[in-house]
Amino acid sequence: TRITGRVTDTKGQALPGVTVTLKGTTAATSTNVSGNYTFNAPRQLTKNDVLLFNSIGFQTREIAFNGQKEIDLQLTEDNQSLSEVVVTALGIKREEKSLGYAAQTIKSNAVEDAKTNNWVNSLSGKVAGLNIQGTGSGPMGSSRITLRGENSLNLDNNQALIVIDGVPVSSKITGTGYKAHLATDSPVDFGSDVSDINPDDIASITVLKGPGATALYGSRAAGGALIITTKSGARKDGGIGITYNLNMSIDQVNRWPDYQYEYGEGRTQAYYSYGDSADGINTSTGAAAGRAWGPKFNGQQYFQYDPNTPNNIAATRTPWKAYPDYIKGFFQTGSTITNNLSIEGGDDKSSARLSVSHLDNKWIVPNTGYQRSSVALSVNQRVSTKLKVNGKATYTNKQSDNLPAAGYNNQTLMYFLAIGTAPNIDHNWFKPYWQPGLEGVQQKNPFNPGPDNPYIDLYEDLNKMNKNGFIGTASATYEFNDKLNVMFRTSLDMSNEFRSQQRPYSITKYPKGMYREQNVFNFESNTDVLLTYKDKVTEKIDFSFNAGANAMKQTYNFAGIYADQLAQPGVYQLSNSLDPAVADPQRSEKAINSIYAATQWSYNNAIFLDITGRNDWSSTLPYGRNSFFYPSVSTSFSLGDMFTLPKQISFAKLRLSYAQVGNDTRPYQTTKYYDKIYSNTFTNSPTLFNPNLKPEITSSYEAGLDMRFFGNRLSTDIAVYRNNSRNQILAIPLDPTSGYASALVNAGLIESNGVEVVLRGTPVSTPNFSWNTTLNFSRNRSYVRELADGLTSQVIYSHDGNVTIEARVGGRMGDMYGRGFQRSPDGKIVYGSTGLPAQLDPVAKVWGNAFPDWKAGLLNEFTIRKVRISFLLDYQRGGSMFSQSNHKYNTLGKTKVTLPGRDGGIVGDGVVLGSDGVYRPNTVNVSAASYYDNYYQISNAETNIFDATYLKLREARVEFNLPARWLGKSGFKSISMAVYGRDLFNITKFPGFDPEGGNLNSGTLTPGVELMQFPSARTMGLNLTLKL
Amino acid sequence: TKDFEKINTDPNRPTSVNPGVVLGQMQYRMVSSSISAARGFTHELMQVDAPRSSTSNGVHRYVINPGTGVWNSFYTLLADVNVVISSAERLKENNYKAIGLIYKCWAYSILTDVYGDVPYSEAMNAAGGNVQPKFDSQKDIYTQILKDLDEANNLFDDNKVLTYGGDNVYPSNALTSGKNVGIQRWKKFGNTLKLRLLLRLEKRAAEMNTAAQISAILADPAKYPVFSSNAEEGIYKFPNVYPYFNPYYTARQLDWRDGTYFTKFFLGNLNNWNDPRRAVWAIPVSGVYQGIDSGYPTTVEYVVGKNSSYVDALKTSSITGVMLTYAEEEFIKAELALKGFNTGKTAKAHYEAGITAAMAQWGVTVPTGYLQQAGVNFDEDPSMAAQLEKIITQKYYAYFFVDYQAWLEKRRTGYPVLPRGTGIPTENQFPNRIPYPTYLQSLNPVNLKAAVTAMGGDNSNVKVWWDK
Repeated sequence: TRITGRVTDTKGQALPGVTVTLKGTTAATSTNVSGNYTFNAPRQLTKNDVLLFNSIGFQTREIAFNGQKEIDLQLTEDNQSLSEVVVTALGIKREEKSLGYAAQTIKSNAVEDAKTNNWVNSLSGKVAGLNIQGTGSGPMGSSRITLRGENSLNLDNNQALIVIDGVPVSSKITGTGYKAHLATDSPVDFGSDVSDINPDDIASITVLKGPGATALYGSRAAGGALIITTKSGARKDGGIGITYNLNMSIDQVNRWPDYQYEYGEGRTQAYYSYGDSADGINTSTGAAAGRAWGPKFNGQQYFQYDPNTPNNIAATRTPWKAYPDYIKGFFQTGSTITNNLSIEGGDDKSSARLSVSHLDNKWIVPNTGYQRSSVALSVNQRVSTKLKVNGKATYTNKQSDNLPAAGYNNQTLMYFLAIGTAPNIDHNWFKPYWQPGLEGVQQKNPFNPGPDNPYIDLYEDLNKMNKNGFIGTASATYEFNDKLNVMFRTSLDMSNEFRSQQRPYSITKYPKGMYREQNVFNFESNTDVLLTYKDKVTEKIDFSFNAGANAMKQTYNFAGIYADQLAQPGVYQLSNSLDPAVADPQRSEKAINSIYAATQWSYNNAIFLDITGRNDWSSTLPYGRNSFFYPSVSTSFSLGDMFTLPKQISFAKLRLSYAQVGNDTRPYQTTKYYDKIYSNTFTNSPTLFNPNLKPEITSSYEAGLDMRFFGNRLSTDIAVYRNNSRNQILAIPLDPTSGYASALVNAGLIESNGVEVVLRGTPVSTPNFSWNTTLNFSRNRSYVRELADGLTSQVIYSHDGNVTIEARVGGRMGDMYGRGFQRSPDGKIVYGSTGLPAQLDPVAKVWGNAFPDWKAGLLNEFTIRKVRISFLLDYQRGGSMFSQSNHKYNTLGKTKVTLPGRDGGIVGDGVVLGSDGVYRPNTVNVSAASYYDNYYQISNAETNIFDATYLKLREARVEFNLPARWLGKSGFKSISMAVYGRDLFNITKFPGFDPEGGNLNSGTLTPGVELMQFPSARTMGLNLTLKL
Repeated sequence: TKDFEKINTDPNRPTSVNPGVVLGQMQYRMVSSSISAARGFTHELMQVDAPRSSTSNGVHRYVINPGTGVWNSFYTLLADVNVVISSAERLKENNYKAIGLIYKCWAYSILTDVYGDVPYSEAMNAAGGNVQPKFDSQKDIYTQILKDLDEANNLFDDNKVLTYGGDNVYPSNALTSGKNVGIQRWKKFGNTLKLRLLLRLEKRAAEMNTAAQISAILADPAKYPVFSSNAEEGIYKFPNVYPYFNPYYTARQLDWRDGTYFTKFFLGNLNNWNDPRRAVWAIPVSGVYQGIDSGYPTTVEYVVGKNSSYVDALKTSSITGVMLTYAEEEFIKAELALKGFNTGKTAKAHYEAGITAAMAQWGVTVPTGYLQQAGVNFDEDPSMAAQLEKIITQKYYAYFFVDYQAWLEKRRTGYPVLPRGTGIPTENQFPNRIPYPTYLQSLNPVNLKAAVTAMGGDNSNVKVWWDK
């Protein structure tokens, strides 16, 4: 049977690309550009046959076959897809069409499908303009979330606000007070309230990228916001739905630095000897250990470490060989098992959802990992025709028996791996980590005495935590009539966390052991009232008006007690403190009161105008001058409703917005205080207070174009913006002769420009095969236009002076400064008379930028009958990373780049300045050890900063849904199984583990500099979902 | 928002303090910084020790990086000294004020001796709006220091306790038999410090009228008491309980002794004299105390554990916090006697008392025959130059762990005569100062430029005013 016809929209415009299918078969065709189709049925059609007409953006129609030869029909626009409802600031739901700013909504599967320890990280590549910077600092996987670049010189201020069901959630990482480079103790990544959210409870995430979208949040959302809506009971039929989800995954290191296994420990190649021997004096156990400039593995024999003698001195020579696992052997395959069970039900008056979840993680570093359990309850009730109430509550317990310490420091595994071992050392030799007879008292450190025994780090240096968190919200909406309603909402985010750190006797930094406890209490409450009035002025003019008020209060209570010497070894109790235990209390409170109003106008459902205003009073600003107003205005033009567009264009919207938002500061910056130092003494605060602080102000201009083509088969959303941040609250450095090391001032102007493009397409759409593809692209540039009077440079981060991230007037945010080689006029490296590069050029130059040039994510999803296949490629162009790992591994001869010249020495490629002022080629041969030691020295930013461009296969997943007929009468509504992988490959020229790193300094995540990051891991998992 | 002012009041930190809660930590951090300067800079420059491996540059090759040293730490702590002084004035506590003045004089004298002209009269006034203080001439700074020491001397009242406690150096938080012994010792500290500084101004004796001031101190011990025993000397004794540990308490072996050896010069004299302090300071290797060269060529590297380095006990020692010693005072008097001042004793007597005190300070006694042997015997060469060399050489050993003093005395007197390492590039000169921190170029450019002009440059070859 052959059927022909033409498909049009309700206005009579031809619809191309409409799929015409014989229901229950794979036979299909589609309409051409004129909307015409010809369908050749594979068999004789009967009256039982049905033809399906579907196209994205339109309601699917079913036409029963009735013997017709020709079927013409109209498809009605599916308003659901064109006018998707978007949750905007303060939880106000709006039609997407009416928005005058960029908002990108992500569905729940984006965070559920390919799970990670911190769900935030699974957003990477899925939102244009969203940048997620990890730290490589442990299983909690803390990361920094920024939208549209860096607007504030205070990096902590640039993070996006996370709002879950109207509750702002803290992304604050409470650190242990340690920096990542050579401190007495090391930072530990304890995660944040945001990372505790169970991704299975998330229904959708709306990303509000700029101030235009977030102006109603006032001083908190200058960096954009992620508005999370959690699942609530969805069923309306009075039935009960049960969903069980099992997720099992393993983690394996996905990339190693290019280690060499050709030369062993030592400073020279002459010979090797563990302790003094017949071959000569000891070449190993002193500070030489960890250096791999020793003899080549040629099958020769030396006196080496003997695990079987009391002093480990060997009686006989043994073969000199490499242990390929000398570093890799310290890692294991990690695993995560997550169980989720949710029950939901409801009718037209009420609904409820309860979910319980348990996660058990063992990380890639032995004896580390954590467990998380959560219970979430959501209840909605229509009490009367006028009153609706709903409540949501989530309780989370997270606990860990040990989290790894991060950074370049004693007590971290990565520090040991850099400087404590070499290819000729079996990792098993470190396993007996106590000296015989001195268990618990004296560690055994058979090679380099600098770092602690790595197994002490893993099994005795424990960092424990147990956190109970509660996020809850209750709201009531009263509808006076169709036009007027009022909503009252109060919400809480609170957590109490107990932490302890213990260190045994004989640890380098704590010869008499250590035990510390911290109680961390975090509390934020928000109370809102919001009045909404909607009406029409004429048939064509609609308007609505919102007015509301918010009271926010934060309390942070950190109580640390430290016993930094223990009376008895192995007893980790405060009562066992040798000295009186020392208290470290840090309490702070902050409050912001606000009133706000917003009005939306629409003309003919085609032109939209939004005006908002918010006034904040912040407790952190000088009393009496702490009131600040933030306005915004935005417009949206639905061009299709105003003009006749070519038929290929199914939808077009132009939007423009302007907004101002502010940012206050930390508490207690406006008065002079004396800082506590040690236990009961005080010191002059190093930061000069400022009684005249003003808030930072970010002004934002945004324009956007949303266009959809060919019946929504192709769509694009483009946004361009400019943000200006003024009056930044900066701690500018002072010469200490002034009595202060820094002063708080309002100064500076940062200008960010950017473009974001979202491109979506459905190249194929048939009932049995469809292909959806989404490309997210973003590019941001933040420039430093002004700093404080008289300042030309502001250091944002300094890695002990070796490399700094500096804001210099005229430069870009994130510029990384450091020293490099001295160069001759024609650009050659200048060498000294000894054959080594001359002293580094004292003038610091830019060698890179911590932030990427642009980013792109490409998501492809295929549905082939019951099988869904998806993969996500994530690409970052540019950005730079200073690699401490590179410096350390290369100066110690651990990597392949240090192999050239091992046997004959190196004549460095460069020139020497003669006393006559003439540059001549360097001719002096030096040993590889001293050449690379000099070349990759830590203060040489030129050789230790690398391009952080990468391409990652971020996600790949295959899901199979059991056909309904297989389920039969089993009672299951659906069963799906999936296998997935995350970060399966990572293509980059970066020599460390992962160019996406950063470092954790106490509670601040700093991009651009990795300080012995942990390896990045590839995750492979299985996912089973049963629905009853 | 009525309660916002209360909400924004820090519950953890006070808005005002008494001098007692600031003094102790300031004393501890000051001495921690000064002995770190000794170990990290002076010992290497003055050939006490040398790095085991040094592939380029290095202080021992007379390469002095700008800003090395105590600029940051001393100025930061001088803010606390100011808090001690100003809170003492507010509470009318003269003893605290006088102790504060002594620290101020001690710290500024080191700063100006090390860098030359430094911010002084306008320093510490950011809260008053001046974040870029001018640099004062060394002459003006010394003039004021000498006045301040006199003021402190007059303020001390040994009938009164330190009301708020906090003194970690001397027992001045309580009275002993009705008298404040600690305050008596602070008074002696101040006058002994004044003697040190007056002697340092030797080349400026006439314009600074130092001779009369020295004579006044020597002539009137009642008005100007000075140290008279080891018990009185200015050593911060680390109790090694939290937080007041020896700053090297947890130093790693790698950093404490595997990277550094004593030099042939330093151990050579001690070996020749069979000096008992050797065993207190150095680890014998196969029974002998053996040092390495300083300023050796970059191709040289000494292996670990084959030469003498610092003994581990010094890491946790309670007595390395040395500021001003009784031994130094005897050596000062020996030199004064040698140069004709009436100290009441002969130069030799002071010299020998200095050696005795220096040994007692480290818990050892002068061996029989020590003072009579060649190289120590004061009368072996009666020339003034030879006797001065003996005094300063012994003083050099008495300056173990004392900030920059050994270097300052070398600059003043030329002693001890140090061998020049073969690896020191010919153009490198023995340094006369440390160049200013480079960050001043952006943080205080105008005043820095004026100071550099006044001093005649900012490199390490430039001599400070008292050295010209």
